[in-house]
Amino acid sequence: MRELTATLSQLRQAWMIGGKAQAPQDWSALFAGRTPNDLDLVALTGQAFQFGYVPHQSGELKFETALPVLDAPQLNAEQRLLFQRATDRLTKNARDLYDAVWLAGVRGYAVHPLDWMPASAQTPVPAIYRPWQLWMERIEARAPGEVITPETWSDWSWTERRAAALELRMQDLSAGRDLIAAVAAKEPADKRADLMRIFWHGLSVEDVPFLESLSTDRSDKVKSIATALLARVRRNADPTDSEIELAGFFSVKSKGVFNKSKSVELNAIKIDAQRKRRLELFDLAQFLPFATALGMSEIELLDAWNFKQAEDVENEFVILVTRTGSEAAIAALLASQSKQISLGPFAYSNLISFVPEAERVPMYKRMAVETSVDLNQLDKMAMPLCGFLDRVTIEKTSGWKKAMAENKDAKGQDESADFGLIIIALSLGILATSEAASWVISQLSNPAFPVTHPIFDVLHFNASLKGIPAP
Amino acid sequence: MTLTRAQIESMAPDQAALTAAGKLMKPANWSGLGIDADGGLIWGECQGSGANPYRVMADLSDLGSKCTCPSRKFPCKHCLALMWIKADAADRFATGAIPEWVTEWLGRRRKGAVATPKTTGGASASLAESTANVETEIDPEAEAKKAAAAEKRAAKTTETAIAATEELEAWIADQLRLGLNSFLSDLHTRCRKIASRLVDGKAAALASRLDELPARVLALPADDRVDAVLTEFSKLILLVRAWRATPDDAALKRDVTASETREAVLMSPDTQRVRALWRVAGERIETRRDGLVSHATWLERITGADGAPHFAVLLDFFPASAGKRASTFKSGDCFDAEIAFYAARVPLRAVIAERHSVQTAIEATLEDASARDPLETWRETLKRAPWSLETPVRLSGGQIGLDAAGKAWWRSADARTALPLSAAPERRVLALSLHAMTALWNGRRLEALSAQTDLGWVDFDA
Repeated sequence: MRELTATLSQLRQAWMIGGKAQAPQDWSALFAGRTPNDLDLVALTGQAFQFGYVPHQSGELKFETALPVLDAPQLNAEQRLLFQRATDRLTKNARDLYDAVWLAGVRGYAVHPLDWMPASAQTPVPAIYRPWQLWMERIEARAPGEVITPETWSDWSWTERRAAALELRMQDLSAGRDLIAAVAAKEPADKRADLMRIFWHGLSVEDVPFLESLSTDRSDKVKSIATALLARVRRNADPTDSEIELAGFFSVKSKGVFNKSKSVELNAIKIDAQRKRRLELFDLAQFLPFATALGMSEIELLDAWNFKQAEDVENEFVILVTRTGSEAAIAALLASQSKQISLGPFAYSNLISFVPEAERVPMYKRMAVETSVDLNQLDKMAMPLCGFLDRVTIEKTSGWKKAMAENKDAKGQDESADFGLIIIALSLGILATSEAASWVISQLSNPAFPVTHPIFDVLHFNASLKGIPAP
Repeated sequence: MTLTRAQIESMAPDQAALTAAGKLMKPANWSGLGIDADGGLIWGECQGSGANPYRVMADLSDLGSKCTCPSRKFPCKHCLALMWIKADAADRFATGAIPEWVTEWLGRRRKGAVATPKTTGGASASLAESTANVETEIDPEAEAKKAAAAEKRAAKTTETAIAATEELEAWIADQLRLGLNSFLSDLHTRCRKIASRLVDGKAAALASRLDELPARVLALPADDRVDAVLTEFSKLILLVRAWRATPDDAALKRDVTASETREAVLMSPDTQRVRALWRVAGERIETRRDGLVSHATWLERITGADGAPHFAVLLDFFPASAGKRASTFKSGDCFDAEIAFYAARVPLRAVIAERHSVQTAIEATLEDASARDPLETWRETLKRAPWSLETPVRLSGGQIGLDAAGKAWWRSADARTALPLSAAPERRVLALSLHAMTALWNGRRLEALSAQTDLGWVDFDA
């Protein structure tokens, strides 16, 4: 064998540089005594290479540790196919994929790791995937024991830096703060802002000196976050220029004859630049000093605030309250909404994280029925609560009534009606309970959109997930 | 909905399309002819010249139609034939649920995108004429003349191709004389030049192989390239010499000049047919240098007779300019079918002769391959057809790991065998314990197709 290898090597060497190769003596028998030419030799050599080739793997091979088995059944082959159809064909963006993952998680199923896996730091993620996240963290992790420090900060990738800083902050508040304080200046504004958001975890008065030092930061975004954080830990009622200027966009009026009350009304604006400025000021303002600038307390301002004046103002106001308001102010806003839902979907989506988990589903159901909220908007807001709309609730929604009215005369449907049908099928695919999903398909299908039509793929996937009952 | 011959005539883009449609009326050409409950939609699968059947569908409400064939004519002969069958023999359509591929088309199509009927009555295609054309072609004397002419042409082609293969051998000798280092530095130009000569010499299949040689060689690490070139030269020399010795050998002819037609394979009494449950192991779609897209669908036999081929490949070619085509099958699909193999020393290329069941995704379990040496399959292939470029292999349980250079290797569970992969899969795939893996082995690298794991089947091309 060694001789053959040496012979092949000699032939190869000759052909590499060019020229005629010398046939080995002991090969002559293979050619019945005639002198082989180069083509004969190549024909034989090539075959020898193939038969003799044994891949040689030297050194250690590195294997990944096995993916942990999740404490949830995996989608079976049929459900997996429905999942792939639902996510591949119609809904191509990550958000829609995530919705379908969440829906499966709500019903107690895990998707196939090749169809979706959470990133190590991704939140929120259904709890069943935590072992996979830990696995991701392990394979992304540095050598055991390696800890990020200001000196080694630049050796880590941005994702690793942020994850390590967050972990440190959660384990040791002051160590996390000291790390961020030491390295923040090295990062560009958007990443600096991202690091500031870590302070929401365990925010305390001990963070004040560092947060105050950011008042001279060159980025307005960073300054705004730092100010919001400071407002949380150190309640300051004195309005700044921003709050005073913002208050100028509103008028406090009295209403009623016997029981007089106050009402905060939006002043008319003349040019679009004023509207833009108003939005900018909402970003810079704090709720308490803003209330002070209007001559009220936080609770008085919430009572007097006139919602439904302009959607963008409504949204910004709710963000202002949830971002910088006191706990009492947020509770008051929630209490007002539990009596009568008066907020639009976007404003509501900012408030929902403050609603106790047990109260979210009933509140969403009320919102779906009592307001004219579009089911698509509800879908976008309700992602962590997929699969909660039952048939009775669906039938009461204005979106459903409209879709059914348009669907009665399927043959006369125009393109906008078709579009409406597609949107409602996709939205309810995520929102409906398993039983309701089957029922929706039967109600929406028509000759132009038979039950096998791709617009119903998400609903079919939903209907196939018969597991833990939806909340 | 009533469809008349007159409507079909008015839709036909030309007389040739209508005549061709007439030839497709036979029941043998069609499977799965269906109509929805309202009678507004019809569909069917037509066996065309490709390995995969064409999916044909029509909406009778506005006579819109769609076919997966690469024809630029609209409507194509398959759509015309489908509607013609509806007009003449509506009872051949079975009422049933609308297949997914039809509803997909419905979802995409815009109403109004239909064939425009011709306005000039005199130039419009005639169905009667088309039928007559079909009938007149069965003239035995004319057929005999045609056959004789074809035989003469074939002999001439063989003569020309023999000269071309001799030229190829001379070219290989030149490359050896000039040195392989020099050849590797000028790989594309030299291969393109000889490929052109082979096209002129009627050796189209060889020309394609030479055209693809640079891509195959350059995909390998630099250290492996000289051996890869020598190996390829060896295969080419053995192939052309074997063919010159037996120019009528169908398998060799396929590799040198051109492939026989699908119909010839199905008509031949010698064709090997295997009825079994087949699983789609994977597919490979490549755009070749000659402007054709090669679409290979690899099938793996799950049940059926011992001794029958374990694998089959359905091979289709279509012009890249025809745009992206939807795959008929998806990795993981299983179906009961009779597969007809092209004659070969190692039967692999095949066509579907008849499909018996609707494809479904099932958790098929393959037989344990741990006792077999994975390279033995390759050596067996080489013994019978030393010019083969690759072979599908079923590997036993194991795992994929990375070496110090980051290159991926499949290693058997008993750690006795390790084979390099052409590309490293995603890290999450590396964490899967493989019970079995199906891959293509080209003598140097594995190209993973799919694997059975704790978490079910995974597709590497997904």
